Amino acid sequence: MNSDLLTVSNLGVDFLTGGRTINAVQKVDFSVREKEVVGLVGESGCGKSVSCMAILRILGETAKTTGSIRYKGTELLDLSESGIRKIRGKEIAMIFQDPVTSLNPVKKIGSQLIEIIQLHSRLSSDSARKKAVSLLEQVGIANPADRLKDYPHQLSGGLCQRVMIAMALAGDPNILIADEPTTALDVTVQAQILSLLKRLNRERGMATILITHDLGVIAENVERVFVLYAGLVVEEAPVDVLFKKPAHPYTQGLLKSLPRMTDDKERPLVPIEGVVPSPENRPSGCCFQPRCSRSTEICLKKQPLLESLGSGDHKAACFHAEI
Amino acid sequence: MHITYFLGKIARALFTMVLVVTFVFVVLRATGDPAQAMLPEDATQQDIEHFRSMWGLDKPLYEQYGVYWLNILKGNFGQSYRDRRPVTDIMAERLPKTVYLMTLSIVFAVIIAIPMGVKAALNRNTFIDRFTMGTAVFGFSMPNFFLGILLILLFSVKLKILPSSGSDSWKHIILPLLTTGLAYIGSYSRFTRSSMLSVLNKPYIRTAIAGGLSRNRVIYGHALPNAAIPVITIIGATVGRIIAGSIVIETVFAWPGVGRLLVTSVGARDLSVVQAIVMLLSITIVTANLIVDILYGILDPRIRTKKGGV
Ligand SMILES: Nc1ncnc2c1ncn2[C@@H]1O[C@H](COP(=O)(O)OP(=O)(O)O)[C@@H](O)[C@H]1O
Ligand SMILES: [Mg+2]
Repeated sequence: MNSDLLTVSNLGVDFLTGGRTINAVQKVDFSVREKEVVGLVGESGCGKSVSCMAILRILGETAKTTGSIRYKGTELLDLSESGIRKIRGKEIAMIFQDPVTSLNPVKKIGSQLIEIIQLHSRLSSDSARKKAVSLLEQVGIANPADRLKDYPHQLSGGLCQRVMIAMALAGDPNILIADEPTTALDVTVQAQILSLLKRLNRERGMATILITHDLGVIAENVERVFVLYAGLVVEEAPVDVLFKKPAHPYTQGLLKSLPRMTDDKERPLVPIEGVVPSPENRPSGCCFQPRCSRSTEICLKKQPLLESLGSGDHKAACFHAEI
Repeated sequence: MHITYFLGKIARALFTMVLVVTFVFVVLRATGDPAQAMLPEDATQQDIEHFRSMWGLDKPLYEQYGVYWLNILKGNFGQSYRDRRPVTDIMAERLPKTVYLMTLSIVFAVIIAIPMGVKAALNRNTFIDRFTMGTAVFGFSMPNFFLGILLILLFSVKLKILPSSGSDSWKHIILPLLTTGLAYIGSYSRFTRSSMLSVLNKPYIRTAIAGGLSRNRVIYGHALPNAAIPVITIIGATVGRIIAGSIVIETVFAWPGVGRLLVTSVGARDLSVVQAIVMLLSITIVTANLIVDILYGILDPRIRTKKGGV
């Protein structure tokens, strides 16, 4: 088994805004091995984006991050500002949910891409331009030289996301964090972007963290899955195990609410009742307890920890996990 | 950019200008008599009538009005009753003084206010932010004449280090420059700050940071070019109002530009001069608005490309 490239343990993120503290991430543990694709899945607001932005330390000054984030043995939370800047883009790159607004509206695609290329390699502007063209080719953009002259608003969402991916590749990173890269795109374009990410993972051996709220996306694209709920990882499993034998009632609920191609028409789609508690209104004990059919006395009192269920790769944070 | 769009704008602007000039033309004649304002107290009835017929003031109003426009079409803006010289000559003397003072104030304000607004935005809610924005609000809300008088009291009357009126040396421009400059700094810096704050929250700034760019590259290379767009509009608006804006400041500091000339000419019922300045005033506003429109298109590619390129 490959060793971990990135290990996030006991991650907590608080936002200090207007005299209040918002506990966006309670306790998140996950890891990425070399060349691996992992998925972070969970409903909106559960802390996926915040957890990943914490890795690159791009949450801004109001965020207070605790725990540990180790990349190749280096503790990222201990790095100086210039130290973490050498990680950004070069070791770990990130793309975002809304590709059009993620590009600078007043600068041409070419100048944004070339700026990043020259930041990571001391290329002359001529060779940087050539590299820009080749990167756009690699992400499947037709007539790349012409696209360099375009402004972001002249391109479709799918093209902008490809440009974002090209910019992410500029530093030849070991890990790509893709935060809901297809949520803002049309269905057909979604599939193209996901297969592009898959191809890049294969060809470049670039490990990928795929964030999504859509279990359907997870099923086809990742090797291991981390399920988040209310700022906690509640289940971790290889993807086939997760779909066959989900252990946490929340994961089971998510799967029941997921439509599948192979469905026998009889199986009803059951949404999970209730809503995700916001950081300010978390219940006592287990955060999922108010929505859980299996909850008992202990669930009201204690927060269950993420524990191994027999095989080391399958873990759940539940007192009543189904093994 | 759409030619018809601009032609429409220019046509509307010309129409506004004609209305303003007409209004001033009528009001000036309806509210006072140039002959009485110009001639000495003991002037005889004959003198007065002579003055009126010399300047055509004895003709019916509509006829005076028609002659006025006919002359303008020939490039003749009339004569000053007071100086007995063509208005164009007087303007050629006075206008550079105003342009000099006002552009220098604007340049001075831009140089100070933009870094100040950026600094305040980057240090939001800290002492630096509160201090700079406090200064800005002070400069912005303080009436020009009042601040001008305070500065005169301090630097001219009390400390006796700077002259309070005139334009003879470089020292003369310091106080008027500070007075107008401070007001501009107030408005430009507040605009820069709020524009910068909204830009700093944009996803493309996060992209730039996540890509590994240095703080300065992110701020000056990515945030500022976006934040500058609305700020430039505001600067353009003040450029358009330099004539209007010069009236108070030139009066307080006896600065011999068109602003002060307007005030003394209204008092003296020097009709041609007042009309020419009012016309100039509307033309500068209209032109500046047009330029800002065009600039907006150049600076913001989203507007430029929608209109099909400048
Ligand atoms: N800058 C911020 N300041 C305060 N709260 C934030 C900030 N960013 C995110 N949050 C809160 O943190 C929680 C997790 O957000 P996020 O990670 O964006 O969720 P998601 O899983 O949908 O990506 C949410 O409750 C959100 O409101
Ligand atoms: Mg998110």
